Amino acid sequence: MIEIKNLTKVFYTKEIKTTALNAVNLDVERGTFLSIMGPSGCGKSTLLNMIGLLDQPTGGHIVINGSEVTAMRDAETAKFRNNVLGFIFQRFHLIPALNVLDNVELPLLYRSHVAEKECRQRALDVLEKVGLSHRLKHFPSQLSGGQCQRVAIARALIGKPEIILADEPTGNLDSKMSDEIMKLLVEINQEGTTIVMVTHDEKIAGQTQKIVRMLDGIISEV
Amino acid sequence: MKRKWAQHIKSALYNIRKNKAYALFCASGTAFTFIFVVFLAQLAYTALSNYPPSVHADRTLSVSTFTDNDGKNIGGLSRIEIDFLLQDIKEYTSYSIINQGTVNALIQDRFRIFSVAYVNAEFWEMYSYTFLAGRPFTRDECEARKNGVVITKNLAKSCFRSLDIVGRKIEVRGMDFEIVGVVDDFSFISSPTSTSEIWFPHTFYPFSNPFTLHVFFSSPTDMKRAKELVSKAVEQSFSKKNVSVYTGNISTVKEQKIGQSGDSVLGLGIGTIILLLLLIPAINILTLKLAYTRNRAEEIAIRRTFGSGKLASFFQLMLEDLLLVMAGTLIGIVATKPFVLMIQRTFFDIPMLGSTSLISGVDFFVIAGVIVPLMMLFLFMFGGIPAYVTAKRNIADVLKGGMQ
Repeated sequence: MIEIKNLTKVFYTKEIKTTALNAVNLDVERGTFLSIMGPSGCGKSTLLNMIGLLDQPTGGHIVINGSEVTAMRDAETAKFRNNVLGFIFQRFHLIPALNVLDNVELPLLYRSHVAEKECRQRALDVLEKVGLSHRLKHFPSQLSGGQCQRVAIARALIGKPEIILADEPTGNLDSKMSDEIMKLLVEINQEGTTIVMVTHDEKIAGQTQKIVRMLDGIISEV
Repeated sequence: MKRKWAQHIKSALYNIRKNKAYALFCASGTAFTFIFVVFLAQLAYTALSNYPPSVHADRTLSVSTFTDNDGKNIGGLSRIEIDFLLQDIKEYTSYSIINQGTVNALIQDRFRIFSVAYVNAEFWEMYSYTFLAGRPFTRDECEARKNGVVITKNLAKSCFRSLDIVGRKIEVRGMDFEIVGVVDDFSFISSPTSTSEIWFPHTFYPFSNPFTLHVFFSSPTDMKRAKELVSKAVEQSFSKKNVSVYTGNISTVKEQKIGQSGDSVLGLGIGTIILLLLLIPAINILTLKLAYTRNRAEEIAIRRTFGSGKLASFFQLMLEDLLLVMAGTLIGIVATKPFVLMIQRTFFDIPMLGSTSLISGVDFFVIAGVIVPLMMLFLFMFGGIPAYVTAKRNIADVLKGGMQ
């Protein structure tokens, strides 16, 4: 489902050249729950950003569902992210101006063929799934960290993506809340969605099917 | 699509509420800028077009005082000389005669000095004043020296506190004059009688000074030929007095309005001033805006993560500024005339100016044809660069909280 070949990312500043990813090769099969582990600065989030088309690689190729995504133009990447990918972030990244329902509906706003009624129904369904159907009109500032992450998960799910990319989804949560979020992600994976998750936490990674360890921009262990 | 824009507006309003100081600076800066822009645009439109009441400004020739070929003043034409002159011109459609001065009039038991004009009845046919009450005086009333006068709305309001004053009296030089009509506000730039507030029949002109003659030639008469006809008639009139006359300065009312500079120079001058007026506040707001875009960068990055393209993000960012600029421009349009009157009265308090104004109001054509495009230009001048920079920023960098 995801084929990564010789992926390289180099960050340049005036004086320093930093190689965040050094010829990374990785295959992720459909339906896998994969976690990427490693110390800070090893390149795991950079790798996730490349897969999510949130950043451009310096070299190499990423093929998702048979499409070479590194060569896509802005409009194509936007459409691809909207249709194929779902994102969950450590800091939730909800839009503070919008209530729970509006935040969750966001990905469907960029799909022209989804009717308003269907959009609303799907938002209600995913919010029901994450246990937040009683917080529809609340704003992010009125929710706890765990609730915010549930909203973020609902937002990632509403577009029925084939792949969910989660960057430390439990990083800002206490252990009880982390367990609940992981339970939810495992459930989503069991329904057929491929999940690629970055984490620091061995216990969290232990709940996934496959662990990839990174060090200094390369994959050290699969 | 509708829901997407509704959500964009919701976000924009939230951001405006969150950044009140910036919003206030942006809207008030726009309002203040557009007061001057609207004023200048309206002024240019008034001067460069056949703006009421001078609706035939480009087809009306003005004959006033003359010089001989050596530049020595040889005066103008008396009422009788004008009659002979008109017989020589023949091809004209209509004409009006005008003389201006001041009178000390007794209105509502109070003496005041007013700028006045003495005109013939045809004046009201040639020039398009809007009558709010009553009517103009007629030719028969003029010739019969019937004591009827027309006054401005402002004079009616300031002296009688009402527009329903037809039939009321004013006293000038011991003689009672009946008000027969009240005309609406007009710009003294486009009025042939400039700042006059009371119009008397020309037969009441108490002096022997020459009249100004305005001769209207309707289409299809070529205005070059019209000038030749009038020049020839003027030369003939002065030749009877054995005086050589220079007729090169006979011009249309429009040419007189815009002076010697001409349409293009005046238009270019005002255009340059307007651009400078827009550029300076745009740079100020742009500087502040660049500091504020950080607030929107995260939201834009989130939206792009979930499917918004760079172009859609650019326009979403512009939407917030559009709301502020529209509010500011609207305030600017509404405040222009009161502001101009206030400045005129505060800094240029000339009794002769009376209550007339440089601009009579703001026309729809000026708003739709000039102000709205300028508003969009202003929007892109200060909002375009920050929106472009924010929309094209690396999503991963923004979500990470870093700056490129």
